Amino acid sequence: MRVAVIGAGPAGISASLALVARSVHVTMLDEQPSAGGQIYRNLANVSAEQAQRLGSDYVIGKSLLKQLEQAIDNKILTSVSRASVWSVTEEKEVSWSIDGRSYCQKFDAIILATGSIERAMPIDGWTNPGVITVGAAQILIKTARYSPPSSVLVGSGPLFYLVACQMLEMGNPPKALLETQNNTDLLKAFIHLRPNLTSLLYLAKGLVMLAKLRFAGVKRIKAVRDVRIKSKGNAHIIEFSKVGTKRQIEAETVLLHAGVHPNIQITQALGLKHDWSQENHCFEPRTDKFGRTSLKNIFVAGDGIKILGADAAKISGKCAALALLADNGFLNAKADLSRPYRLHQKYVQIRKFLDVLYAPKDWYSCPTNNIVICRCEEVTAGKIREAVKIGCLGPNQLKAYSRCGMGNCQGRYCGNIVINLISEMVGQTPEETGYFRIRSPIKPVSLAEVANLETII
Amino acid sequence: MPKSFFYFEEKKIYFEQDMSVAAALLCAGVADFRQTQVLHKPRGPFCMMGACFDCLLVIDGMVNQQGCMRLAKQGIKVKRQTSNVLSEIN
Amino acid sequence: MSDEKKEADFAIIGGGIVGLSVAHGLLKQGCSVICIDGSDTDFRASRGNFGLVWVQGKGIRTPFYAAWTQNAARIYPDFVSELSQETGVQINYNQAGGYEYFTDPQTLSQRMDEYKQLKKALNGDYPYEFLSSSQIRAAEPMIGGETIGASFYPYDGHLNPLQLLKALASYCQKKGLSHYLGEEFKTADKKEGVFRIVTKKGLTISANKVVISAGLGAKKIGPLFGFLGLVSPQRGQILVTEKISPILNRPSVTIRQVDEGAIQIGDSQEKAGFNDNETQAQMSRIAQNAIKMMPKLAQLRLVRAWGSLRVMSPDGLPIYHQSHTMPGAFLITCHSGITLAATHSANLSLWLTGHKNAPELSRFSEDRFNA
Repeated sequence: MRVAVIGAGPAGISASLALVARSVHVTMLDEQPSAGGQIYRNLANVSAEQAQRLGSDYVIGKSLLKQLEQAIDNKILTSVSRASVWSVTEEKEVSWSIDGRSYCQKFDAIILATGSIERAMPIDGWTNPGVITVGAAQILIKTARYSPPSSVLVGSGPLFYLVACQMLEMGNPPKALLETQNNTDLLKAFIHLRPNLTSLLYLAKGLVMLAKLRFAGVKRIKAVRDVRIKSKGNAHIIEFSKVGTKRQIEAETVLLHAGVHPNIQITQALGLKHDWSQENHCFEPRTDKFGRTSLKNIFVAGDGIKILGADAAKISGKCAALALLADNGFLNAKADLSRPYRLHQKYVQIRKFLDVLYAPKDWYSCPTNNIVICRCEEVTAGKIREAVKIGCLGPNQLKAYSRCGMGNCQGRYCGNIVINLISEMVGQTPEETGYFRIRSPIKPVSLAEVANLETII
Repeated sequence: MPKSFFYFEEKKIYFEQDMSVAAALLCAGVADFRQTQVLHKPRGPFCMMGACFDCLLVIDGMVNQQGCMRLAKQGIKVKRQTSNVLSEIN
Repeated sequence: MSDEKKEADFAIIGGGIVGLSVAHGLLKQGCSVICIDGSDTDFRASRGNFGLVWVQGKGIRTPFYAAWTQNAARIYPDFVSELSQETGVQINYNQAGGYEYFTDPQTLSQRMDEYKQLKKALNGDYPYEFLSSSQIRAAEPMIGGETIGASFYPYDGHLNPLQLLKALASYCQKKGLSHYLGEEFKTADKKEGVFRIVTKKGLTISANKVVISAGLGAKKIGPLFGFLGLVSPQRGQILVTEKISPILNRPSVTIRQVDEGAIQIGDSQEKAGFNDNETQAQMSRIAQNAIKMMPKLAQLRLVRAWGSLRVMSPDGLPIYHQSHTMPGAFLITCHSGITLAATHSANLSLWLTGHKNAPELSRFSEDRFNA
């Protein structure tokens, strides 16, 4: 039996390890130069000292990477880096491209572990050079040991504070945090909190981070809204309002973050069922407890199903692997899969708290007409609203009328905003509005490569 | 060992191992990578993980290269991508 | 969503290119029109097509169809310019002629014979030409590889089909079309000469005449009005490359450069039921064929591919038919909705209103399948 695992983050690696432990051969494909996903990005290459600086949640990945390395050394696992997967079909054919050559292999089963992407925060000036995501800043820290100087972070969410702290540790504290959540959000979130040990530990970590930032004198401004960025070269003026008064601050780099949601590019392209998550305001692929999808032998694992973080992703990867093994007769029919699942559930409680606390705000998720929504084709919210007026009830007709979502990123960033805008105008639910029909190639690939696919048998 | 560099429009950009072209340029203070096709506005890296396609550059004559997905290599020639730069067929 | 009437002269079921072209013509005649249209995820040939306004190769053994198509192409410039003017939508129609390329001498000589006969059948009115291998290479420098010649037809052309759809919708709404969106057809009946149509969401509309232009939906809806509804899906797949500077002067039946600069390639005809996925095998084959014809395309990056379902009648020709059992109900279906849009507006609409200048369309009736 041959299994493809797509994505080499915590979910993908742990799924792969669970499979090779039962002597199932795995081909793990990942787009980055080394395994680890965004959470353990470049961890294999950074010094111990640098890893320590970036925190225990980063260092902890070392053991997973070590196990992966052993599996690779023992030749029971093929790990393919820098592989852009551009097509995955129902027939379980996977096509990927490396350095201008494409390969296609048919597998018996596939585990999709493609993680998350950051939610769009379309505000005036978000397309300016020098305005990047908080996640992008973290990638710069991890891969280039570079923390953008004189930065201002705008938004909210766990990653928001983590990266602020990492910048601090890099000796380059952010100039200020402009936080979009307010005290009412905090109150509402606490009402939702059903504390278990996992969530208390998580909260404690959060409080330590906040204390560090406070101790370092990083300015935190809460309940900001109507943020606009005016840029001149590398100088940015961030205008915002707080309790009705207008204020501004200068920065050399602006970092945006409005939480993360599953990267559903491949699950959508496969035509899998998705459900709208009221909690995280995004579509999530429909799976059973263990990551089984509506297609036999195609599984999803980790943040690609639901955002629960790296620790949960590891368990989720294992769950998917066990389900795969059980479905294909590699496990005793009576094997108990419930333990990892129960472990996984521990992470759900704190997520409910975080989802309420850091819920996206209407002022940017349903923005005014002048704001560019589709970064690729440069379509404004106004153009989208116009198209809805003449008959776009869903994102696909919208694509036809406005080119929104038709560019290189294929709606990865504008998708959710488009859903908000259409749903609001038509008066329908996000579920009724639906999502873009995603087609291959998921990443651009040369015509020559498509014509001369090297088939791996 | 001398530091590695690549060219960004005549300018030498030094980089260290494991850096992408986009990361090396951001480290050097270059955030404006291209001009957009519709509104002709400046645009630079956004996600740094291959998802947004905002960091497109001309690398060794090839247009539409994702700067964040290409590891920096000694001596490569990198250029801004202007809005009228379309792929040319040689 | 302009004027929300529930009673009108005409009710159109299906608001794609075909339905809206007919609505366009009816509104210009002064009729009141309602159109109901389905959901965002319906199979929509109007959204997945190649964007050619194309004459050559059509109706080779059915001159009346070739003539119908040729007439549509000839009146196209006026149709488009008026639409653009009224709506401000840029359709980017370019009618500078188009090619079909040949790699096989036998196919080429057969096609030469066919065009000669067709021209004769059309009393000399079929202005095609054939280009030699060197002539076609001079006209289209991208051509290389195995191409040995091409046919050329001067009224062939191409446009942005999505903009055409948008322009038609916005024109019709401006002229008073009651356009109900997201309303899937459920049932219909006819009482005292009036059709009553009910949608799944419970909307009820009534009209003196009904036009069914529901594409593949005609298979289900047609029989309720006494039609055979003989349509079936044929999948076509299309590849689109990155945008590049102009390299193709004219479109061909399988490769064209679109207004925004991308090269669009499509030449699959597959039986795949109601599956409109793109497939690995076809994508490879389409890419291979394109490279055979134009080797330099190999270096271009593919950014998108899609499959879409053509609406095919048993003989591939349009069906224009008034119901024998429920007069006043019309079935309109074809797989060349873009090409025929101009004539659907200008001429087919006259047939629907029973105008004295209406074209004679009996050869397009469903009765041909009863024999």
